[in-house]
Amino acid sequence: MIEVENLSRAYGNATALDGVSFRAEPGEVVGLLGPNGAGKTTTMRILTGFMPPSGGRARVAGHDVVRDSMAARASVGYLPERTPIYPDMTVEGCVTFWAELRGVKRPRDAAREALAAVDLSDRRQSLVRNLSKGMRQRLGLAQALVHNPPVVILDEPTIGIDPAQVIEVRQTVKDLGKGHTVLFSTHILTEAEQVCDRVVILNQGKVAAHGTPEQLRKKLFGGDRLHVQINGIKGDAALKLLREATGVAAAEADGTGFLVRAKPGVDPRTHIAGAVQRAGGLVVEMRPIDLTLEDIFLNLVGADSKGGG
Amino acid sequence: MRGIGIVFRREMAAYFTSPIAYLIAAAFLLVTALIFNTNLTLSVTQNPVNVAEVPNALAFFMIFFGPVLTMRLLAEEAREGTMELLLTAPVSEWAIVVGKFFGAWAYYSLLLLLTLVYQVILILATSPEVGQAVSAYIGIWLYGGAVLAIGLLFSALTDSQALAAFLSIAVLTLLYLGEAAGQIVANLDLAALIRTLTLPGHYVGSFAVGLVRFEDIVFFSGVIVIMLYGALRALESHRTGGLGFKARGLRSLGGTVTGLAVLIVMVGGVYVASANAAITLDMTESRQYSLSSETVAVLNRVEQANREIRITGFYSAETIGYRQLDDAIARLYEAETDGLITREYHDPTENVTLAEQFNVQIDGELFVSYLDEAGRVDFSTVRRVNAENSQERNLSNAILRLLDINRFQIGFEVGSSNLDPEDTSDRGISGVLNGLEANGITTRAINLNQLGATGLDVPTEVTALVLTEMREPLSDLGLRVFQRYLDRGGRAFILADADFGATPFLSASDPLNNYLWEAFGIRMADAVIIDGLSNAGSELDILSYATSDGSTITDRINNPENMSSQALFRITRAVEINPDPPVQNGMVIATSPQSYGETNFENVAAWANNTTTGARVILIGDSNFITNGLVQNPQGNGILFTDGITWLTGFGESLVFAPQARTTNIPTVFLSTQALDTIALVTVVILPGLVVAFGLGVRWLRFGATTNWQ
Ligand SMILES: Nc1ncnc2c1ncn2[C@@H]1O[C@H](COP(=O)(O)OP(=O)(O)O)[C@@H](O)[C@H]1O
Ligand SMILES: [Mg+2]
Repeated sequence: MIEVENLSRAYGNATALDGVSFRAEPGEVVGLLGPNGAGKTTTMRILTGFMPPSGGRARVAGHDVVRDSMAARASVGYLPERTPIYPDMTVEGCVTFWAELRGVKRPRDAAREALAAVDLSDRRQSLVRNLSKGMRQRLGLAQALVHNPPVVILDEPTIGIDPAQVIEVRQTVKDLGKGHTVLFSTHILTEAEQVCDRVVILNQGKVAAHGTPEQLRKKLFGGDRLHVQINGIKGDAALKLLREATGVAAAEADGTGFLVRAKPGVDPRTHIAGAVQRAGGLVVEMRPIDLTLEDIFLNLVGADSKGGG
Repeated sequence: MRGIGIVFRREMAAYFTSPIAYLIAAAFLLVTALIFNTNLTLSVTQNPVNVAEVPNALAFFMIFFGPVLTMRLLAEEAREGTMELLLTAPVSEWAIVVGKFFGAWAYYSLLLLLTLVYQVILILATSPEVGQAVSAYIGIWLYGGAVLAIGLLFSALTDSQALAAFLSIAVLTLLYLGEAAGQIVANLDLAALIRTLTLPGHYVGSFAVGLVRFEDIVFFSGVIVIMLYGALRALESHRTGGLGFKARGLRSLGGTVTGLAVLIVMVGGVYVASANAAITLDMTESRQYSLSSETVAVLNRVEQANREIRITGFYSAETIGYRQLDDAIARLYEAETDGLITREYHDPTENVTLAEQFNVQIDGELFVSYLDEAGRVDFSTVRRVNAENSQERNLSNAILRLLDINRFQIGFEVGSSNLDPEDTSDRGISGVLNGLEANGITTRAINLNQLGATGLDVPTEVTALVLTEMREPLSDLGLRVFQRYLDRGGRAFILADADFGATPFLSASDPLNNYLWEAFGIRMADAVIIDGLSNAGSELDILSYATSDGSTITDRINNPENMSSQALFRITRAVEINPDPPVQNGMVIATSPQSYGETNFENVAAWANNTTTGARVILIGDSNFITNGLVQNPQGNGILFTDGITWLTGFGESLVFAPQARTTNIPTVFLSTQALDTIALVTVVILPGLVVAFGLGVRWLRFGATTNWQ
């Protein structure tokens, strides 16, 4: 369990975190979503006991990260943003070392288990320096899990690895959620949606919003956006038809098709399909469009954040 | 602290699996082997074996080996991102820093252990000073620990290994060169301070020569603790996001500075206290840095006398290294007498007036003197400490001479002679008198005839009487005074000449001559000895003479290796010795076969010793030999006179000292060229080669041949 209350952190005069509060329950994957510089890494570093907060409180598995730092650290598995490696050690030696350092009883067995869990068993005896980037990332996951911590904190684990491995890592994180409290940071919206049970959106050191991906979508985006392509109805007529369909807030031409924005809380797709059919046309394509993070933040904070980073 | 062992083991494993570490080990062995073999070869032919040679060289080479061993320790963790994991693991920063340090130190210790091979070879080849070797190894082990701690600090301060190594080497070089600060810095106190702050300053003059000083252990431990604390704070600064460039970091920089200051003051305090306590362990076989029983006896006398004595040394910044060595002895005197003997050092170039008052001749001179009531040096009692091999012996002798002030008094008969014992000019016989004075022997004028006329005796405090340059025999009364003096155990140095006047001194009719014959079995003959071969300037000089065996008086003259130790006599009266003597007697100097005389006499000088009364007499047929013209050149004349006085007074017996054998009995190495070649092959080629091969083997076995070598 992670409990964060009114957490703040300043670097000199610059405020990196400003009154952040959220919780993560066991069996839950919570995503920290935000653009670069939002304060994700800072939050995680405070939670892992790497640095102290300037204000506020944070508890990990029931231990205060400042007053009870050692116990808090012992209950966290952490994969930092920069994959930590000992290039001259063997894969197994590396994980065993971290297991020992975290007080695991049978460190070598634990290391083997953790390596099996991330599918690195066959590279146990390789030197870390000879591993590919993706394998190094999995090694990083193995060390974060080797002491079977109740809380796992992963800082942008999918950055810089190839797409096939991104999917693997996302799946691993999702699976982790079954037995652990997982805090997972990303700046990719779809990733957060795919992996997380709940999402906390950080912007400029503040929680901009939080909730399940669904809730957020509704609350934030004012409805889905759809790309619709219609055959058999002329452009203007089609546009008019779409705008008048139930549940549609707005529609505009977009290349070969149309961009449709739904009213909040309503799924307009059956209404659109029905309306087109009634008018004698045919819907050849209708798919939801992912919002970019930039879109979200524009929605969230409006003009305020345009100058921000 | 949990985690130290784990971090330590990882570091050790890192050294043992890293090919670079094996190369470092090989280089380490190669360098030490070259030094060892050079030294060994030299000691076969000329030098004594110095068991500390390899550790001494390491004191220099660790400037480079140390940083290479430590540069990786924390810089790599920062660079590879593992620092973040270390600092979020449930272990303290102390555990990390200490574990890393011990890892490096243990690896270095293993390297040192490997170099013990050389000591084993020395033990097999000769009988080296094992104690000194142990001391030097303990020293260089601690020294290395301090070097590694400094390297660790720089590894903590930067993410770049190369920068860490560069900075460490720069600082270590400064710390190494600082030992010679006295060559550059003129101010003595500053030079001394700088030297105290350098690493070699706590090794070269102590551990390396077999002297384990507690304060040196404190120094190296203190350096280690301070450096580790610095490394700890540098490590912590990762948590605050940088090394003090940010405002928050600055605040913690302030804390670091305060912490360091407190630590330095604490270490400094312990250091000063331990330096004052002078706790030392003398590891030399000859107990060179311990007080001998003879010195302890001398110091017991000092305590009985209960007068404060000051050891004053004059050292400029240039001789500061000698000061440390001398002080290692001097401070034992202070400790042994519970502060009755104190020591004080001055810079002769700064304190010119004081140096003049002491009559300092060379840089690095020591003096002993009493202190007056006000606790100031009593200049009338200043005694110079000789600068011969054993500093302890020199110092103890000087203190003895100080204690013996006024104990020995030499009376010079002036009633019938030309001698002026009040002449204090520093030449000839007056110079000799000054020399006696400097050694605590006082001189005074005695007029035997006058004493006899007034019915007095020779004062009891007169230890010996010198009768020289006598123009005429003693008066009857004077003779009786002299006889009473000898009969109660007096000592006399009697010099007669070939005098052809009307009433010559010690002629056949002189009652003194008859008394000497009856009481001591020695007398003057009416005969003159001339050396036919002498080329000393006159045909009447005697240069070729023989000194008699076993006489303490002539021990030091006519030394074949020192031509100037010969004695020279002008037209000499012959001395007769009774072959059936009433007391022990014998000859001091006999003429050579090349000499001839009116009758065939051989003896130039004789001695007699009445062991019952204690009376001693030396009779020499020439008084010119201690006149101004001859007493200093050749030196043998002066030595003959002073040694005669020493024997007469018994002063010499109070100075007998068992020599502190250091320069003597140093074992030479007996090794054939072939054996030397074998040793060189084993130590220079095979050992380092084995280490390299072993490193390659371990890597290859573990990771296969395809390993990416870097
Ligand atoms: N060590 C540091 N020193 C100063 N400022 C920092 C430091 N680390 C991060 N920051 C600043 O704090 C803010 C939050 O950074 P970070 O937590 O790394 O964001 P994210 O991980 O979301 O990209 C940024 O403005 C960043 O520039
Ligand atoms: Mg980040």
